[in-house]
Amino acid sequence: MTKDNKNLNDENRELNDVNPENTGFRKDRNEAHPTDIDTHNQSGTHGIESHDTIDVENLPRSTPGWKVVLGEVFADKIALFSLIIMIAITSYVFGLTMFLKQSEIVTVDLFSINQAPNDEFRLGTDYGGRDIFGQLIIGTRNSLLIGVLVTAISVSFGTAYGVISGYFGGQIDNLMMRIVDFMMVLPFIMIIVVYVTISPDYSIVSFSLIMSAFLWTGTARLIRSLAIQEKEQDYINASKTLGSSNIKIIFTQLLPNLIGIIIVNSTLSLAANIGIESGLSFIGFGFPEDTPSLGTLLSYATQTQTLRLRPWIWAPAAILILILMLCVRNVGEAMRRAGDARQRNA
Amino acid sequence: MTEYLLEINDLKVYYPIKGGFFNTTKDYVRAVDGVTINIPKGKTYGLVGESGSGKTTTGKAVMGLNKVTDGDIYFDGKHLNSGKKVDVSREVQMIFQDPYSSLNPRKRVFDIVAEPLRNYEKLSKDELIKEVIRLITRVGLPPGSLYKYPHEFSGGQRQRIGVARAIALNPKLIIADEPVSALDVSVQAQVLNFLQEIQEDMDLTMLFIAHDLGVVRHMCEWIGIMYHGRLVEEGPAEVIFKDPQHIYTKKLIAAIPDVNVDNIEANLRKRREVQEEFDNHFHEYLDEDGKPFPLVKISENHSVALPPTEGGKQ
Repeated sequence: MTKDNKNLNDENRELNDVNPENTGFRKDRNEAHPTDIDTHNQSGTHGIESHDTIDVENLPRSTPGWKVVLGEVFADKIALFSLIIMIAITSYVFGLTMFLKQSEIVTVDLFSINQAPNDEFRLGTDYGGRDIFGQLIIGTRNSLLIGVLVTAISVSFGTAYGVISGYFGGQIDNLMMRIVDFMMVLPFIMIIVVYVTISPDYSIVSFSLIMSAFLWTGTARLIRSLAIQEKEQDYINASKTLGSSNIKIIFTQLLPNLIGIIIVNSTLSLAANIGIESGLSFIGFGFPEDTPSLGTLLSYATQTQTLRLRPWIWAPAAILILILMLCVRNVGEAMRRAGDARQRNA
Repeated sequence: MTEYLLEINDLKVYYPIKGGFFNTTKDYVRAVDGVTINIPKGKTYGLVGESGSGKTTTGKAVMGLNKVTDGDIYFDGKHLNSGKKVDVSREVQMIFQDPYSSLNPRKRVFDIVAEPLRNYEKLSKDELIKEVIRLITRVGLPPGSLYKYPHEFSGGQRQRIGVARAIALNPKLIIADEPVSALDVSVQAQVLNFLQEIQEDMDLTMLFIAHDLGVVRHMCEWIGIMYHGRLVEEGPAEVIFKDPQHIYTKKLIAAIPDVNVDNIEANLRKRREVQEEFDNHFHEYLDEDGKPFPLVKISENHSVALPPTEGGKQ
């Protein structure tokens, strides 16, 4: 036993010998950071002395969040290009719709049906003689509004719901998830169809609300599963022991770690929501023909004659959807990277 | 009777095992099953045991991160698990085992270390930055690390950030949950020496949880050895290492590696002997549930969980 003890002492001495001063640990750190603030006493083991030597005028400040996001978007040329295209399209569309009269554009003109693009109608006309270009501009505005509204409402509600359910867990989680299950088994296309049929005032806002009422469940489930994963991490425990309240932990610890997936989710659902609107128009329960949207324009392609012989009616809308979705995705990608310091390019 | 800063009386933490058609509670996992620990002010208490022996659960129960099934925890006279919310975050802090998962990857060092200060101190932005710089230089990180992210640091440096966060509020008690087990050996020594340094400077009391007896010997004045949720031996460090009474303790001590190559043969022989004794007699040290017996005092401050038939002498 005494021998054993002696050995232990040897080991002990070993441990003592390897201490920070001897290993050159701090020296390495200094060399590795030539840009460090040089007003501080870095060589001392105890930083207490350096407390007074800090240059009060030039305390190091952090980069604000919006600068990080902008920096990331500018560093990624594709994202920058996408952002410019997106801003160009939206401002052009929203600017032009102020001068276009919807009622004029959607009036049937039997003398100019199914015209190919010409001087009078830049993108031709449909079977009712209506100007495709005007419909495209107003339709883009309507579709974008619906897509953004539905995504904003459903993602923010779904995120809040999922985070609360996942973070608090237990019976709260159980109850909240049963409500989600109930919402998910409802045939939501049917309900929207019925709503569209019976609703007297059927506008972009009410349409967005009824769609969001069913579309938040997917986000809620996704965010809940991630929140459950994240809340088991030690940094959440650490935050609890440091005296942060649950609300504070959710906002400052949990959500920043979910932001990447929230952005990806929003980007994807923005595309999907425009798709759902188009789908409803396709089966005849979206917007009527006097309220053009990208969906109504696309649904003209269901007629084989239009699909084969008159591409000017549906092709611009299809291309526009493609461009918009790609741009949204690229910008979303850059924002997601900005949210995660490990993936930043800038 | 000395004044104890932390008193844990007969702590029990059970986790229910659910099953059956109605998902009823069938049985419990007795993670901690009757642990009594008293830590005097300014001392370091080492809690040692194999994985799953309930060391970390004990530590987390003190922090309020685990639900306590039974027993009492008193800190500085305050009852921590009375059901009423007692906020002792200012005085009790924890250093976590894993320096990777215990730092939020999305936050900068500044935000991580400033979190407790924001919660408890009303500081202006300038004062906050100054205080955080003071803390991170205190733990040996350059002030330029202020706006870096955790992934830009090595394991040892990350653990230092964790320490900076834990000492930000000048706590009286720190629960160090295997603070070096995720680090490689050279960095372990740095962090350990540095912890001792801080402890002396700040007059800290520490509950040091570890599975490495060598580390515990280096750090602690007092040692408790856990097995299956109970203490099997408790006493001052020298006594435990010189005169281990419980067979499990003997085995743990024999298993400490030795750097002296001349002793390879002797150590191997010793280890074999202990292993043989362990294999033959270990069951005698456990009750019918496979749990260690209650502790018996064999000297003034040395308690061992000896089988009752032997009457506490060996």
